[in-house]
Amino acid sequence: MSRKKLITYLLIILTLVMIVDVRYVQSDNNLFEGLITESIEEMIKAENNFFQYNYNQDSIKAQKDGNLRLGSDFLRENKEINSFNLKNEFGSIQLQGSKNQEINIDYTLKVHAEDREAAEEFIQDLKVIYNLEGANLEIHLNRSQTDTPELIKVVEIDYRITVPEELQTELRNNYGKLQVQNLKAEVNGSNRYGSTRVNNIESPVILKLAYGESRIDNLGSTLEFDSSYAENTISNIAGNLKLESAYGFNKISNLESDLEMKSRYGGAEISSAENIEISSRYTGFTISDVEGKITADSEYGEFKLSQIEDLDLELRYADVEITSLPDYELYSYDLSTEYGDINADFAALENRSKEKLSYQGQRAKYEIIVNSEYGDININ
Amino acid sequence: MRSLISLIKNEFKQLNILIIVSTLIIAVWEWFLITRTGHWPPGLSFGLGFIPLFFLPLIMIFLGYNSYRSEWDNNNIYLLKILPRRGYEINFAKFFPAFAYYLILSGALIVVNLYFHQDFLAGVFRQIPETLGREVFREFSILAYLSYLITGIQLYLITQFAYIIASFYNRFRLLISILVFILSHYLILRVGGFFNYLFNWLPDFPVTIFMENPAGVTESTVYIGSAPFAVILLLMTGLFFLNSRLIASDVDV
Repeated sequence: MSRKKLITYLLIILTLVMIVDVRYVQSDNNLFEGLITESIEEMIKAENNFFQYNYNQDSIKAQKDGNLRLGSDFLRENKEINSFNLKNEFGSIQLQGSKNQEINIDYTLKVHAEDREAAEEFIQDLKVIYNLEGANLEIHLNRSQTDTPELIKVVEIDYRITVPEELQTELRNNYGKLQVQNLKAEVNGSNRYGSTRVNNIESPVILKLAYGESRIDNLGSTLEFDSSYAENTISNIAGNLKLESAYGFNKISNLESDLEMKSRYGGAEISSAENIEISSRYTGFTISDVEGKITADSEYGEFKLSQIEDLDLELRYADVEITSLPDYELYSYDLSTEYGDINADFAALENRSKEKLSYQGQRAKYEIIVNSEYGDININ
Repeated sequence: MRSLISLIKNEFKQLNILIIVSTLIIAVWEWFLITRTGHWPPGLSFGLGFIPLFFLPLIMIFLGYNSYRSEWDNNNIYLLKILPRRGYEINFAKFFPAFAYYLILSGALIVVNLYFHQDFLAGVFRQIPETLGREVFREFSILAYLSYLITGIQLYLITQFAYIIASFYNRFRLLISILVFILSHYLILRVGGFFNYLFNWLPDFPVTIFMENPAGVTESTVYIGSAPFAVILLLMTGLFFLNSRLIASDVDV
């Protein structure tokens, strides 16, 4: 064989290997994984625990309430304002929409410090101010919350805010509760190390949450949700839900539209949805009451499905159990597994191997396709 | 040895124009930024001063691709192959000037940028504990610059390899080069993952880092795995000798 031919074959084979590897294998093993050592993993965990060990009611040495009110006159004079922007380094945000054309911000400042006198002196000049940049109204403390004098550790702020319901909001919060409700405009929010509650929002919502729990419901439009190390309860979403989840559990119900979910390490319980598209690793799913097609490309996890219609699963190292089908004859089945078993009550009399099963229901309306490697398929 | 030095000198001569033009452009850019330091917001000219660092790897790709292409274009490849020098010597003569150019220009740019923005850096260090700030800065800079140098070497050798493979063909050389370039990166990334296990015994790099928390920042030391650095150097050494072997023995003129 000439060198040219040999190289051509090698290039073709390697290209195919690369495509198959990138598309199907999705392994985390790569050169850069070697950079991550145990100390880095421990650091990530330590960051999670930092707050509860270091800051509590005892470390608050000075506290005061304040108010910032931007009335209807202000909003009339600055008609270009369409976005409300708030970044809280430490504390909580409770924001709700109102029909009134005014922005009302009540806040409580808490100074965590080593010395009470220093804290009381420091807090005197502190107040929440606004900054208008084009159409964007930014709210912040007149000093840095974290870059503080020597004896002062940090300034915690609890915000209680009312804004006109048609004002877009962008909220960033850390180490506390984030609550957003009753808005007609878009919401873009993030929260780390705290619980989150979002409800009654008519426009699209974008959320990024880490380390905490969340409850999100009654959204009139789409939800784009990035979650890590969080437990989420999501319900009553009118628009599409795009969820990216890592190391967390998601309980999802009453979706009026489609769900697109990417998940690593965790679990999900989904009930009542339209089409569902899943890409997952190390995630278990319990899915029921779906009026559409479930498509999944998953490895290492378990699927428990009930009351479903169309199904198309590509699974590796994952068992699937399908129960409560309304009538077996309503489905056509195309099941195959390598290194696993297929158990289906309805086809007990059919001639079939343990690894492949095709069965056309008498009144087949829906299609169940499952291709599995190293996993069992059970239909009861 | 003398003939090797002579080869290296010749390669340097071929890079003359590129070295002069790029050094001048970078010098003018840096000079412009230095004159604007007092007028622009703090840190802006310092940050912009590093922009040329993004272009140098692209120049390494260009140099890698042209290292043997120019020999074909000038009909010198035959002469190069009949030189009484080993393949790795010929390849070293190509590689050394490109790497020296990359190392010196990037190093000089960083030093100049740091030197002329000392006031700004002093201001940054004042906001964080003195020892912590400088310590972190030094460790981070060394690791970042080491990674930057490895990236430059990697891009050069892979592009060179891509062109040598493409030179086995008479048509679609650019397309084949691009394919080999992508494949090589993929293989290094993937195969490197398995090679990591061979170098797990190496001591890890200690890095002092900032831990962000509600109080601002605190000092912490984490260890970054050194295996990927060893793997990439091993793979690049292998690639260097493979390129040398291919150009000396396998490529037909």
